[in-house]
Amino acid sequence: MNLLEIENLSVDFETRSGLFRAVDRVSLTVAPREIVSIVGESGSGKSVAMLAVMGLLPKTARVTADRLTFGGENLLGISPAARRKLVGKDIAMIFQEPMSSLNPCFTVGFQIGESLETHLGLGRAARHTRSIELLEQVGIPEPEARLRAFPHQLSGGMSQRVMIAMAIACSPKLLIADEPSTALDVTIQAQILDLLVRLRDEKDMGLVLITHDMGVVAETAERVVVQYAGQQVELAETVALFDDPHHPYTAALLSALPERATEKRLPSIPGMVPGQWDRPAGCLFAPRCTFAAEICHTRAPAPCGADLGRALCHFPLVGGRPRLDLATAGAAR
Amino acid sequence: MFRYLLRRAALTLPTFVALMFITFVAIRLVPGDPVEVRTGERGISPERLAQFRHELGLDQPVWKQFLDYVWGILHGDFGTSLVTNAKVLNEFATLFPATIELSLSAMLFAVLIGVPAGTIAAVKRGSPFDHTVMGASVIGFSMPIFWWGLLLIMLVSERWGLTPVSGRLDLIKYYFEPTTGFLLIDSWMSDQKGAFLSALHHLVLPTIVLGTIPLAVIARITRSSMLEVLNEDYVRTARAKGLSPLRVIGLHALRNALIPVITSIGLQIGTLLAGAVLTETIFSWPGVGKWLIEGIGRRDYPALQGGIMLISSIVIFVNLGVDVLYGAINPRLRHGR
Repeated sequence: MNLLEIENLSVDFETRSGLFRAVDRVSLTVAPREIVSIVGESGSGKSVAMLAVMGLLPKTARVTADRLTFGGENLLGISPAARRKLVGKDIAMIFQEPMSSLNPCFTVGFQIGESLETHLGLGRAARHTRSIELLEQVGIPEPEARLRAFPHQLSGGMSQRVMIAMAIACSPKLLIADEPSTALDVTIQAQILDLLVRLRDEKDMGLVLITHDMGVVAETAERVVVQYAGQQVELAETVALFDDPHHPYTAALLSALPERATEKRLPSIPGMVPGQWDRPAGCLFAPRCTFAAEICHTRAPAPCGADLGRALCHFPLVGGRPRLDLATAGAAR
Repeated sequence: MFRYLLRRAALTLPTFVALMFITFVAIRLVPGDPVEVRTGERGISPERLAQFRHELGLDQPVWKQFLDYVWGILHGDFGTSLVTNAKVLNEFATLFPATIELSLSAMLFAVLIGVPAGTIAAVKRGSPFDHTVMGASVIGFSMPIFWWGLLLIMLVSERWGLTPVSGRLDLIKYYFEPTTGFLLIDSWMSDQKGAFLSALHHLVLPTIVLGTIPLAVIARITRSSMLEVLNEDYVRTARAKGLSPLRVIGLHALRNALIPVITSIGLQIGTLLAGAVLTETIFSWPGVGKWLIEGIGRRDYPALQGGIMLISSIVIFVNLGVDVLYGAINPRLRHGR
């Protein structure tokens, strides 16, 4: 059975000027022990979708979905109290900014111990032993001394390790990592990713890795979801996606990787992600797409079949070229 | 930390010098001197007047009087009251506990109500509760203490008969020797039943009157500080841990939100003591505030100079203390970088 099942998850925010759709019909499953990556630019709704799963969105957010379950339990109508039993214990999350994600007023030991006390009811001595164990697992030297440290005494990489220790404290079944290495130095980035993959192996947990770095995806993930402007534009096995991307956006992202560049000048995607005000009528990517035809500007595409990575495109790419014969029904007409 | 304290203490020296000068000059700028005030309207023969002035040292040149005064303070002598003939320092020491008791009680009242009110207002931002608290705090902050005190006495004490009108204790029923000067403590330790309740009863109205302005300020600062903190990443982390809202807000957010509140409490100690002068006068509260007001009426130069110097020193040292407390609540300051 899948650990996490999301079907057509949408998140709307109430703004002064009406509803703004930040996540638009995203579907995704995570199996136990699986690493799934969500890639997209800033503002593509990748964090928001996962915050919705955690129930951490502000009150102005409206979450709707056909299906949103964790371990068979429905997360949609769940009471706050029932959710608190799940969140932090079976589903844990770490964030992009480790330095500001730890509370500056409390010691590392207190903040780790808090999870252990809340969910496992451990006593003081047991908490202490377990905290040291956790810090060792995430590779923090002198764990005993570190327990007494305050967050401002730690480096960014150390802080993220503490965050990870806190997240895995109750042995969660699923860990959501929201750009865990973005704010860190490149060398530390690799260490943190290695740590996450190792912990996945040791702890048998599923891992959702939110990132905007295709390199990170290639190294770690088994499956990938590509998001653009709140929409899920492609979902595929990592190898298949890198081999033969079906959505023009995915293809453009991949060709912008330095490792893949064929010319001296790195290719980039012209234009900007549409905001709340300049949403195109048809396909959201059409204004920036090199393959866009007339219909792309007028009619929103429907997702293709699973064999084409459920690409949200009128003319999905195969081998880098749009296949008119595979075009969706609307486009063919 | 110790060196920091020393440096801060050294920085207060110029303040003290300015203070001595200003109190000395300001009192003498008020028309009438102690002798004239005491003789009243019937007048006095010029010979007697000169004799009195000589006895009080008022016939000396002003600069010499000032130097004598400074010399005295440097030797720990704050002079002798012209009215009671008692040492200023002793009088101050007897009266000051009453003022501290009232001020602490008012601050406690302000913190115990202001912090929760501000916190709830921030959490329920935009709700009727929020609007009520913020509206009430504007009114509270702009309330003239004198008028507010009289209004409360009129309503609560006179019309409804709920609280005593003035004083610290029902002196007809209870009497005991002051040991600490804090009536709540003294009455608690005395064997007279009901004395403690009587003292508490007398404290209610003055506390509300004196605590109103600090309450308004604290509620506002707590709210704005809390609103900021609630958006911080670590609050999201706390919620992601599955902690109860009470723990997320009351511990993780509040601990950080209190930092500016503590600063403002320190800054308000001065306001509080100034307010105590008015409040004590309204409620005939036998503290230094009432004593100073009476001192002005009698042109009791030494009492005024000494009293103001002592109060000011206390304000300065309390602010120093707040800096230390600040380090206790904010670890980033405790372990310098």
